[in-house]
Amino acid sequence: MPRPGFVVLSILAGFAVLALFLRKAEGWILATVVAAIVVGVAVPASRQATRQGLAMLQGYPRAATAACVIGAILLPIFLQNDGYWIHVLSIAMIFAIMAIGLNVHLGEIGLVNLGYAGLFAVGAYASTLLSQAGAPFWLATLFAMAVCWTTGGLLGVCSIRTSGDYFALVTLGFGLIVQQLIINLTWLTQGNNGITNIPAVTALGHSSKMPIDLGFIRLVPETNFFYLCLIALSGSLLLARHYQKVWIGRMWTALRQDAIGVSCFGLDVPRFKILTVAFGSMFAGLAGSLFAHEIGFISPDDFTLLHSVEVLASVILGGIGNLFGVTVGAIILSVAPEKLRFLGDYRLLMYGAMLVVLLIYRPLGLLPDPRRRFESF
Amino acid sequence: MDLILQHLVNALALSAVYALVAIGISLFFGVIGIVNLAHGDIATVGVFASLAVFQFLLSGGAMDITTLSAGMVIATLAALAAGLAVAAISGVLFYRVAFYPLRAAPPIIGLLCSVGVGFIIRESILNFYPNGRNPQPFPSIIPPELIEVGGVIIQYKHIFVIGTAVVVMFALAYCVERTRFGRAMRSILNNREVAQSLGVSTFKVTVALFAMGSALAGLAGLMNALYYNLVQSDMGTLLTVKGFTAAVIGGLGNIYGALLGAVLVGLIEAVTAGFIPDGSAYKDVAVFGVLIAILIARPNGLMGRLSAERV
Repeated sequence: MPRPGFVVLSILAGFAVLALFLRKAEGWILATVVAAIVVGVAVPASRQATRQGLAMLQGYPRAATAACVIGAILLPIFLQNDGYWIHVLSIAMIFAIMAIGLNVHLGEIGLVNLGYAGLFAVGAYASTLLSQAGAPFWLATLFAMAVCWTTGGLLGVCSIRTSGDYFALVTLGFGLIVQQLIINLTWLTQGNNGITNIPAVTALGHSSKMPIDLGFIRLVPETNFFYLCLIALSGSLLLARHYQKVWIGRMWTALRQDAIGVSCFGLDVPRFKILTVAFGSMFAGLAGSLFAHEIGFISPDDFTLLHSVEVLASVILGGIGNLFGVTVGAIILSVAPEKLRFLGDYRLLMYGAMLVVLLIYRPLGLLPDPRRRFESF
Repeated sequence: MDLILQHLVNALALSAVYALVAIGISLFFGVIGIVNLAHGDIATVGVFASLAVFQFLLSGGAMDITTLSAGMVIATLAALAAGLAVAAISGVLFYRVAFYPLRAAPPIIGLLCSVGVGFIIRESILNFYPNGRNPQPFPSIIPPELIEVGGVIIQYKHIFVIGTAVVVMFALAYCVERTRFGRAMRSILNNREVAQSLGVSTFKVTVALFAMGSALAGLAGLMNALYYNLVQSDMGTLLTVKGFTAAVIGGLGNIYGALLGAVLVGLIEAVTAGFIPDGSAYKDVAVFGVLIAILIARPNGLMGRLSAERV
């Protein structure tokens, strides 16, 4: 068998196994699998194996990408139309979009943002308010992205003077301020009660509440948002990858390494930084709009500091700077709590323990960006 | 005028608690370069250890022990000592398990790791402490009487909290400025490599610092518990956020800056809650608004070193 065919088949098999794992693994099987993964991560040899496996996939990037896209499109069928898991994976993809956005801040120019959930909230509320006023989904999403872009620009203005842990605190404060304002500005946001009845997305007479009828198979209504999120995620990945490849990406690397040096070569650093932070924040608008319409209900509890940390954790665990790793990290971290549900009250405890163990054994993430092995942070 | 003074007293009591947390965060950052976001949770551990000792010694008796008796005094001292000791030990353990292996990794990894540790502490208390899901009453060992000085009502607990903090601050200033340990610590703050090459054991100093800083956090937690007479598993989050804010306003790595920052945070909270109509809902907004303004004007905090890097 030719190698590309092997790559495609193994990726598709991976998606099928993933679907099987999500739906069927419970109790002891799940515990064994999780234990095996933890032990595997702790063993140094696995790092080498991961790198080799990835190198093989990277040898045929087009085949691998195509297989990933096909696998993701077929995933609802692999999941046997299980609405619950399709929904969980949609949310996971929304988190992945946020992680891609945060990666622009953290990975590309090294700004620690502890308030990304605040931007997410701004996007979600902006989109919801416009949508309730009767605007179509695409317009609400664009509006949310524009609002987040502007808000991010304002944060970017703060980043000019403050850097490192100081910027982290500014963003932490920003996240808390946004949450407090949502709670207190009840005339606009309904406060702690949250906004209900966010209208469904409709396009060409098809509503997101209706099942997709393909003739031979009838996909559950959750599939609508699954595909919508898939499109948004693919778009985000393409955009972020494109920015990494063109001169902007080179400037990001240069800026991260030596801000004074790059300014000597004529880059307007403050302007560039503001635009970069704004660009990274735009993804929060997209994610927020998708999230609000997918759940149909938003409240301040969805945008806590915990959520900011979750996004940050997915960027770091996935591998800072590596878009593929960041996406995988976000999906793992948002699916894991669902799979850990059998732990009941100990779920968050295990989540924290998992985070600490992974960080201690894999400080550079599960799939580190190979370009960065030669960089100091 | 009386109202202003009254708010000032309340603000100072808050500031005292924040200052003790801020000092730990500030010094840890100075020495290991990591922002410890589990610092408030370490305080929670100390508070709950103390509560456990109280509950064991009083074994379900009345939790109101303002009447003086030898047994009560011993119980109180034992409980407070247990709280400080457990906080110190858990701080050291935390450094050894979570931060020490990450000393070569980028600082953001350590920050995230401390978030994970905070998770573990909060959830452990929720799940393993008896009735940990609900807020628990903390015994009130300070008499609830009031003193009125020129129209300002001062409670004994105000005096206790502010007094303790002042005494501790002086002890700490002495420790940092005059003792061998303080000199070693300042040398590491100043230049880690040079300190190491001159024979300062960074590991020992850091462990000692974590013991001291965590005990201070435990003290802050206890003061918070005595002030409100109510403890719960997530009380640490608030302490961390406010302590971190105070430390940053003053300039990370500087204990006097942390003190100044804590006083400012307490004042801003009290002023917003007291003088702006409907302001108590917006007091955090005010604190962080001021914080952002200060950081834009002085990027390294009020008392931080001015950096040459300005882009």
